[in-house]
Amino acid sequence: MTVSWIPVIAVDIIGSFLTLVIAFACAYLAWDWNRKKREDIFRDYIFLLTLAFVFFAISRSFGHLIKQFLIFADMNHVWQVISPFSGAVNSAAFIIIFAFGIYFQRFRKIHGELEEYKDNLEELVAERTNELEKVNVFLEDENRQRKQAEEGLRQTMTTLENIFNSTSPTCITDVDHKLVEANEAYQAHWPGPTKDGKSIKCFESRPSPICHTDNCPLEKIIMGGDQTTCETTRTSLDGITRVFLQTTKPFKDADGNLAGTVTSFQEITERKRAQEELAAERERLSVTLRSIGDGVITTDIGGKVVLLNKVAEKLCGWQMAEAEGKMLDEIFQIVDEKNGEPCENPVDQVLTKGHIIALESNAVLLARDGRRINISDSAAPIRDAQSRTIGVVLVFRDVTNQIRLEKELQKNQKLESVGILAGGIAHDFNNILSGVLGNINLAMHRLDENNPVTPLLQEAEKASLRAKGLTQQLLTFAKGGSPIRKKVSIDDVVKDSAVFVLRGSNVSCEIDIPDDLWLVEIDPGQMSQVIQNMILNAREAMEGGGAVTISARNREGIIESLDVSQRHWVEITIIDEGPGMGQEVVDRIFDPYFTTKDKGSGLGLSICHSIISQHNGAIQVTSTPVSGTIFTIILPALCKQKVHDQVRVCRKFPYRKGVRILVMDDEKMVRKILREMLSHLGFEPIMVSDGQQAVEQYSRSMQQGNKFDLVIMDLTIPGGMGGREAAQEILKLDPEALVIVSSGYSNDPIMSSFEKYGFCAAVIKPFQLQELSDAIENAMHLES
Amino acid sequence: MHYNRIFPVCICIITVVLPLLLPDSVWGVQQHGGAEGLISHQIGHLLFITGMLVLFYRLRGSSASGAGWLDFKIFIGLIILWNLLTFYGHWHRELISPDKFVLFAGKVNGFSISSPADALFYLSRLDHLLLVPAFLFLLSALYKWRKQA
Repeated sequence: MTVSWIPVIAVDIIGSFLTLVIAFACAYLAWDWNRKKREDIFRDYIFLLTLAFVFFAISRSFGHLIKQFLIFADMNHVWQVISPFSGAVNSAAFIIIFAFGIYFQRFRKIHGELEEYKDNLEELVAERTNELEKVNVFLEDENRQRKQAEEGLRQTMTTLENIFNSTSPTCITDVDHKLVEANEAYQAHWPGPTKDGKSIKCFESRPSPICHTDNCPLEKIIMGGDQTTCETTRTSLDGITRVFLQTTKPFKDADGNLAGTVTSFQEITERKRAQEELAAERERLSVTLRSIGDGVITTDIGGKVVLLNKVAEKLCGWQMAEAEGKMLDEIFQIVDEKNGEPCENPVDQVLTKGHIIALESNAVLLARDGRRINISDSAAPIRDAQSRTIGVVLVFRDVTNQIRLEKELQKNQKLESVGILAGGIAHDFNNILSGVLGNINLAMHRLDENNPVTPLLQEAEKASLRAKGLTQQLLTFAKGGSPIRKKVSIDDVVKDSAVFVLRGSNVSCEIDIPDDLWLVEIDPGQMSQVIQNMILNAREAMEGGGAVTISARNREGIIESLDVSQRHWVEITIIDEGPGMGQEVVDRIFDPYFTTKDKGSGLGLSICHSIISQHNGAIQVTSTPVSGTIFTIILPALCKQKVHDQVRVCRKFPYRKGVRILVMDDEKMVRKILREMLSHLGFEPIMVSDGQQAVEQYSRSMQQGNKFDLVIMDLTIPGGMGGREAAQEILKLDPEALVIVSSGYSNDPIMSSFEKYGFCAAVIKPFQLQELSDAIENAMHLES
Repeated sequence: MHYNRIFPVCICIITVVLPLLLPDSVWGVQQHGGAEGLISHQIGHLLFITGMLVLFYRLRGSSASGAGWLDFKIFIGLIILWNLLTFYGHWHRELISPDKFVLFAGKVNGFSISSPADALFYLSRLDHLLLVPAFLFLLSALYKWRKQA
């Protein structure tokens, strides 16, 4: 059977063409598949196998197509030429495909191993990935924590930086003196930590005298010091100097090793200024306190002495340095003056009562040297700002003089009261004595000397004279007016008195009075009485003999107890060698009627005291039972001046008979005895009872042309015109009138200075007939 | 990996290009010509078949299952069949008398089939009927693999 060959040709051509197309498609798909996973060796294998098949398909298809074309084109001979090539290519393709075929297992094994390796690797990778993820989570967590820590650190650093910059100037220096850190406040005052990009040293930043010395704070800390503090100053460009308190501390690293120092600067300019002002204020207060006139002692609440001012040192006898820290009652011992019992500690009293207390009025401070000082004191708590008591302050003063003056004042007041009483008694008593003594005188003149009554009258007269002396003393003591003063030198008064009193005694007298002694304005009579009384006491104190030393000296300055305007004084000192007196006697020696003598009146020294006081002076006595007694009299002095007395010249009456005398006295008894006495003397007395009558009588006599030759006037007329006023009136009527003043107040200034008041003589009641006669004769210059 | 890819490509190129560029030398060196060329080609087919059989053998079992692998196995099977068919065709061609071919105008126009061998030879001339489906399965396998990738 013959079959057509055309199907063969057709299938060959179409099949070759389709094979060619499919082969290219396979090549593309294999390439594309392999491209997606190039590391897959099995894909490589398939890709290459596919390429081998494609190569086979292409070579065969092209060969068949060419063969068909050449046969169709009657070019079979050409095909015969190239057919070997086609067959060879196909054979080569077969071999390649064979090779791929037998190597399939090899590739697959390798692929399997690779896959396994890959799986293992992937597993490992997965494990590692898992581990890494865990690690990653851990790291992320750690990283987050680290970031948080970093953030925290950054915040902390920012905070620290803010703190560092917000504090006072602070810098950190390493051990090589190089500034490592410096905050803004530091850099506002000093350069650093770098300058022109270079680190600078601390001594370059803030040069100081202590740099490069052993006092350098850094060197001290390097040598093992802990903290050093010193003051440093900084003068800015505008010339303002600031003072800083520099505190340097060790700066250590995390291992505790010394890395340098951290130094802070606290500006204390204002504090320094305040401290200086406070110190100045304290100094001022201290000076003020120490300058206070009173003693001041401060203690703490334990009673320990903190401060004594100058006066307290002087009074207590302790110096501040010695007394500081000692208990108060050790340096401030006070006792009761009366019983000697210790007084309660003022500190304890203040702490107990909590308010100001005053010491007992009789407190006496026992000084360290044994002195006993009357003190007036108060103690007060010292409180702090919270009103807590932190101590006690004692303020006290020496009141010894004040107490003495008070006693003096009391004594004067006592003397004054007694004196007023005594003066009144003496005045009345003198009037009585005038009658008694006058009548006795007249009686004796009218009796013969041999009359047996005469001796009785003489005794009565003697007793009356003694009574007169007593009234004179009473009057002197009681005298309220000023002394009858004259500007004299005390020299003569002292000498006359001493000679008079000590004459005939076994007591010698040493007088030491300088020639330049100032004059004094005194009543010579009263002062003589004082001096005599003093010397008389001295003489009586030295019964076995001895010496009285009288000295006088000028003294300048203020005497507090006397007239502070007076600057010049004469001081008279009378010292005996007697046995002296006890303090109790000394304290009462000027009291009236106080006496240690059996026959003493007790008025002598009282009168002396009164006289000296009335002369604006002072009399003091110092006496101990062994060393004798010292009387000191202080009198106001004058710079030497002459005394000029004006003496009124009286008319002279050569004849006594027919002389008319006007007598004025309020006491009837006195008028009577005067009438008798004047009549007995040959005069013609006219009696009136007061000054007004006297003036009228004198005026009437003048009008009648028979005026009185003499007027005797009582000085004091109770309820009527006294002698002084009446004399003035009479002298107005008749400037040549002669007026004698008569008074029992013998120490009345008018009696002493009668001339100044227009009188021509004075007669002191009670007077004897002779005294009256002498006074009239002196006034009228009559011949006796 | 890059080396592993380049190396076989180079082997293939050398193997293919040398016979193509120097076909005479190949023959010349052996100086066989004629039937010797056919035998070498037939050996090639045998190697091709052997390779494909080895490959097919290796693809058995579940190790090469899944999308595309069945298509690939079919492709291998068809290729083996194609090789057997063409091997037979090449071998039988040498045995066929030229008279079996009906020429027209100097060109083969028909074929006289007088035995099953002749019929099988005729069918071997229609080998594209195996080859084209074989490549279609290869295309299908590659397509599926590519699609899976």
